[in-house]
Amino acid sequence: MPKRSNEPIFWSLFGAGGVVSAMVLPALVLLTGLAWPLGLMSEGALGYERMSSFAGSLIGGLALFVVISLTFWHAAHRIAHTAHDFGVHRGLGVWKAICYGAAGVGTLWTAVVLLMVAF
Amino acid sequence: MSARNTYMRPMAGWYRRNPRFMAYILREGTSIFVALYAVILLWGLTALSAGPESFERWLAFLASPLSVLLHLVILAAAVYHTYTWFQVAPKATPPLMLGTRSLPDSAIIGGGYAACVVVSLVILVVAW
Amino acid sequence: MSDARQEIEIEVLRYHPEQDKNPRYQTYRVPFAHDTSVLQGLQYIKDHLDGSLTFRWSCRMAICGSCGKMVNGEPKLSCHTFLRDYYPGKLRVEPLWHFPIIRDLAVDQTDFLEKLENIKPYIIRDEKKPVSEGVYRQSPKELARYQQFSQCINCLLCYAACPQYGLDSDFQGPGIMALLHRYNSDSRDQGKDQRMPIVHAEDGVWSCTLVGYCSEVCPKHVDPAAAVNRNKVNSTMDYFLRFLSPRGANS
Repeated sequence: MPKRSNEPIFWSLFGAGGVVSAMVLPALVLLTGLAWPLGLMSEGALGYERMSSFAGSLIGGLALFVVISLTFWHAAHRIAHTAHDFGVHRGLGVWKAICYGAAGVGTLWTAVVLLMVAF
Repeated sequence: MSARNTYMRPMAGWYRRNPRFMAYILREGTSIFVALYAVILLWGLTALSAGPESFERWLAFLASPLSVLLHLVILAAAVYHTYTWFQVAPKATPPLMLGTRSLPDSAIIGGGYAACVVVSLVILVVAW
Repeated sequence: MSDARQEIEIEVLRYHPEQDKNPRYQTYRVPFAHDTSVLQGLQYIKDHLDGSLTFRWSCRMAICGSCGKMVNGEPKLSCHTFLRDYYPGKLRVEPLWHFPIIRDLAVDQTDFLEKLENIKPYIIRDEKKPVSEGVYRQSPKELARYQQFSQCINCLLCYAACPQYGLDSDFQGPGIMALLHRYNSDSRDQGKDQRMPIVHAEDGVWSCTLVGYCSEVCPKHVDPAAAVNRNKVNSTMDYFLRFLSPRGANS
């Protein structure tokens, strides 16, 4: 009887993160990367006050947490598997540990920082 | 009975043997830029939590030419990710049976793109 | 054969283990008409130019699954691929990727055949239905659930298209998973529990990264990528819900 894999955990996070990043990232990148720096938005659009109240709010904070954290898990899964595509075989466990570990750290960091903004 | 002296071709450089494989590698590669953007956002949040001066420094980075260039690359990656994501989404979707036919893949793909456009518009309108 | 017949250059991988350490390539000029297939081109080579060329074929009509080859880097059924579409360019014919080469264009299919046996590709019943009880009845809707996956002709093009199988042949691979799914989805079958452990394993669905090329090359439109990835969903649901069922891991 072959051993059951634990991939479902990471694949679920990868899938959720993939959907979220697919839906949300293009617009966000347009905002932070082009619209705001090129002066197309109003003065305080990304200002400290507005961002603080957004990130500190329940909905805003939750949204930011979901987007950032799930994106980390999505990328971690994909990067680990791509390492395998480039020939990593026996060392794959180490790669996975580093990638998922980083996603875990990123998730914790995001949570801590958002809590700090909120309180 | 198994064959003797069979030859196994090496896999090194397999992704260069067919443009379809390169497209796949490109798709997988979007994850690096997607992760990079999450880091940029996290950096901004960290700066936000540290106070107005440090947040101004993050905003100043956003305004720099390096950031704009980086964002252009990230945007290309993010869009390619969105495009390829919904292209393959039907493969993981259990069939929704309508009589003896199942919901066609194109409906799932189109639905995904439509959802993305709606969500993007909402974000842009709310944030602008 | 008229003098005005066009000719195309076909470069073929050669490998005779009794004399070759490594594969080499040999080029032949082959005359062709509008309806000449790659298979017919190979047969011309064998019949008129080089009788030592070895390759598999049978039905000549894309149903037996024997004649799979790499044609200019794409997995194709050679009986179903036409020389006219490559002229005036050159044609390169190689054995299917990701399998050991036995001789020239013939590959060792043993791994696939062993995997096929392991997934129990037949209707499994808890209790056999006696002939006296009559036939199994199946609605069009029940048929539609698995019919597509039953079209597999075991041609192995999907394995040639799958880099994950090439990187690690322990991976069950697209065709096997499609056949497994075909039986699990058949309303007459009661053997899902016996097949799912293969799905749940690392070498089951979890080695697939949805390259998706397998479904693109399948000559019968089986869509093995869908079979594999729908079973990722099944496997995930079972992974998280298995402790809720009194029987434990059930599907």
